[in-house]
Amino acid sequence: MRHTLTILISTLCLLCILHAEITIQTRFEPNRIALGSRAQYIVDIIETSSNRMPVPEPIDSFPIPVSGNLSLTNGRTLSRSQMEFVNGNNSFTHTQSLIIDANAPYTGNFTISDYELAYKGQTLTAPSVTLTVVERTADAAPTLEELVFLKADLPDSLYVGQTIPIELKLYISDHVKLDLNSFDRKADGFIVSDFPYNKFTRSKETHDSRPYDVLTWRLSATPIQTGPQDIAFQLNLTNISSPRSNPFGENHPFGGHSIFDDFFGNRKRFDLYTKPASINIKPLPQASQPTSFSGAIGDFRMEVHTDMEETKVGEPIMLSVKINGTGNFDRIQGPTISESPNWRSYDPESQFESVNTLRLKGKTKALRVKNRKPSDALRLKGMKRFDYVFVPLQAGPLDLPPVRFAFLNPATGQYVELKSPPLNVKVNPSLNQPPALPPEQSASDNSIGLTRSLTSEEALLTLDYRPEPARKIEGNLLRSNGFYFTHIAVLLGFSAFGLCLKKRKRLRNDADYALIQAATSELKKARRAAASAKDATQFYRHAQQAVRLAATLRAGKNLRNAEQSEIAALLQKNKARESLGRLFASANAHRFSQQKNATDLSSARGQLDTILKAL
Amino acid sequence: MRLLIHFLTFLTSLASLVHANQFQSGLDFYEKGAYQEALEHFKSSLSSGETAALRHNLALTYFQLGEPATAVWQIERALALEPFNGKYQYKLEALRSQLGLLEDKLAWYALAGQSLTLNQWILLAASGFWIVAALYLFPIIGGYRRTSGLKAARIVAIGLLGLSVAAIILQARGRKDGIIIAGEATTLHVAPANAAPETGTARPGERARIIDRHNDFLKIQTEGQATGWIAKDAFRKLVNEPTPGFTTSRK
Repeated sequence: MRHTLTILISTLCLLCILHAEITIQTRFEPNRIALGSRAQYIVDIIETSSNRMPVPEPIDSFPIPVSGNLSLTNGRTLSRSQMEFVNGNNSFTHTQSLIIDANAPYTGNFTISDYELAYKGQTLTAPSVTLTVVERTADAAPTLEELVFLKADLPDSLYVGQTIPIELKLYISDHVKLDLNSFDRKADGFIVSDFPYNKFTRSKETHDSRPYDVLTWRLSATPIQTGPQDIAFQLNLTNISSPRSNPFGENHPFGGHSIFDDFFGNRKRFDLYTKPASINIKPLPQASQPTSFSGAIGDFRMEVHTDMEETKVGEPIMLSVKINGTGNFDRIQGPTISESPNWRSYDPESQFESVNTLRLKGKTKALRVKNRKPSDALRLKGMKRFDYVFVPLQAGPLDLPPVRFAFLNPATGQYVELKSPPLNVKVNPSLNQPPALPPEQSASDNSIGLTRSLTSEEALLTLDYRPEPARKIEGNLLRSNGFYFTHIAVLLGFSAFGLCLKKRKRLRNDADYALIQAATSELKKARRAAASAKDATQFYRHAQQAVRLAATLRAGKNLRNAEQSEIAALLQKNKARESLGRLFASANAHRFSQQKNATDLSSARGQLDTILKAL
Repeated sequence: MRLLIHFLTFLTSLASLVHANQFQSGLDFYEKGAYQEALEHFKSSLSSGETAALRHNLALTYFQLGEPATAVWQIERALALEPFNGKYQYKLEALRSQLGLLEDKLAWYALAGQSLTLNQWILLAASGFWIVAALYLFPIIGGYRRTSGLKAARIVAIGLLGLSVAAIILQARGRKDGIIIAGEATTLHVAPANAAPETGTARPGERARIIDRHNDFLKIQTEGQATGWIAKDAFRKLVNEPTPGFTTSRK
């Protein structure tokens, strides 16, 4: 029992050490204001622990009981952490603050009574606080809302998909210098264009007898959900007040002094909001919605024209559709054009030109730069052009398919459908007509009407079922060595044939040359015959013939029937003459003696050789 | 020897049979809508012999598989093999039309130049040269009279030679032609580098001619008169003519 009590006490002590202490504080800041000024209702949830930094939990709801007509708007949270180390003890503190703007409609006391708040399994009680609102004195300093405020002109209702321009105006009183830090919006049911930080216009306006500098940013918003949709804009700003130059005194909202003010001036960040607004987003009317409607909402006009009135089969023409006016150009699609058997069409290319660009066309460059305005970015007013390419498939006068374009006029809530008149184009036959039909299926077949020609789609499905040997297109003979070797051989043969022709020509024209050529040829035959002769008669006959032919060659004239003396005159050496004399004498002796069988011809052959060498 | 001849004849017959089977299988698969299988069989058939019909069928198969630029190359190749085939010309125009390319028919003289292959024209030109040389030189060398028949033969031979040389020039220029086979429009660059500034665009299936080469880039001029450097892989020549540093593969 004693042990159990000890454990219980120890556990309680440990829980007390580990468990963070949570306190809740509430306050108005300031808790006393003049009528028209803005106070902030602040709820601080402070968690303290001695061993680690507390981890905050999100708070789902604040059941704040508001008394009177006190308006609480623009709630936001703020967290901060702090760690202290004092005399060896750690202290971790985390503070989660809810800050709500409080606006009182009249003078008096406005009390927010205490209420309970569930947090981390504990029930905390937020203490009651009171805001005192007094009458503004005549010489009171202006409130923050009087010096700086944000305003946006928003319509009460819109159609879903309709794009509208929004002018966000920041009113800044004189003597107030501000820096813009950031922009934010609460518009879940809308697509809002990017905030153009550096693109604004500056103007002067008077509001409640107070002059203001007005900075205007242009935005566009497109609702994407039907029903009431909240929309609000917020700017985070920093006031810059120069030291010792506060014309409103110490009570100025941006006033107050600190030790640093004299050196750095007083910088204070704050948020500005537009008044919360809700826009009723209407669905598009379904009744009588044209089939050509593709989401265009606004007020438009349409122009249609072609780049030429005459073309040829297969040569494209361009159909341009221009949509002019005001509305959601970003959501306008190219009008759908119906299919036509006479034309092949392609998806259009689109181009948007804003109204400023249109207006400045044709003017000087300097003027264009000078007049450039940021409104170009919204793309709400101008001209969108769609260029369609059409290719005629057959000759003749052809009508282009009609163009239909429908839009919803938000002013009347009615659909308007625009339709182009039929554009007639004269299509001439193409100069390159044959591909229009496969050759074997055109002309005569079609004239009979028993067969039809294939469309290009059908043709691109039909295979060729009969392969035939193809010619070889690869290779290049000019890069082949064999080609050149062959032609060298041809050249040699060509040259040889030429030489032959030349020789035959000389034989025809030159008698001496022909005589010599003939004698040479006959001499060779006679020598061979003499050398192969088997009897003396044949030998001496061929030997004498050879000697006479050799003499013919030597003399260059015909000595085929020459006497011995004529031949001897050609011989220079005596030995040759003697041999000639003996050869011819022996020949005569054989011829006259009719002796056919020679006893010994070897000496006669030696004599013949001697004579021929001498000749 | 006789045995060897019989064996070679048998092998040739066997190859023809395999080729015919592959071709027929490709047709069967195509008709069933199995284009990928048809493509494989047609390509296998290609390895044993190229025919215009095979190239044409490959073109249609590639077209069905969503590769129209390659289909254009295949059918251009089929037309190179059979330049006067009207069906192929029609289908080429249809394919080019699908790719948004305008009708671009060959001029009559270019078509006439394709009536023979380059090698046939070269042989014809070489023969014409020797005939002209013989008709001029041999009568002079041989001292023969120049008859009217000889003069007529000279005129015919010179005409043949001129025609052949013109056709050779046309076909030699055509050897640099090819097709943009990239699946989408390809950027042309001012220098042979992807980072170089753009000079234009070459469209899929567009005809182009090689002007220069550098590493993996080709300088081309398209039928749309755009000139610039393009990656080698995006372009394919119609006639393979392997040269150092540049090869094309059969597909």
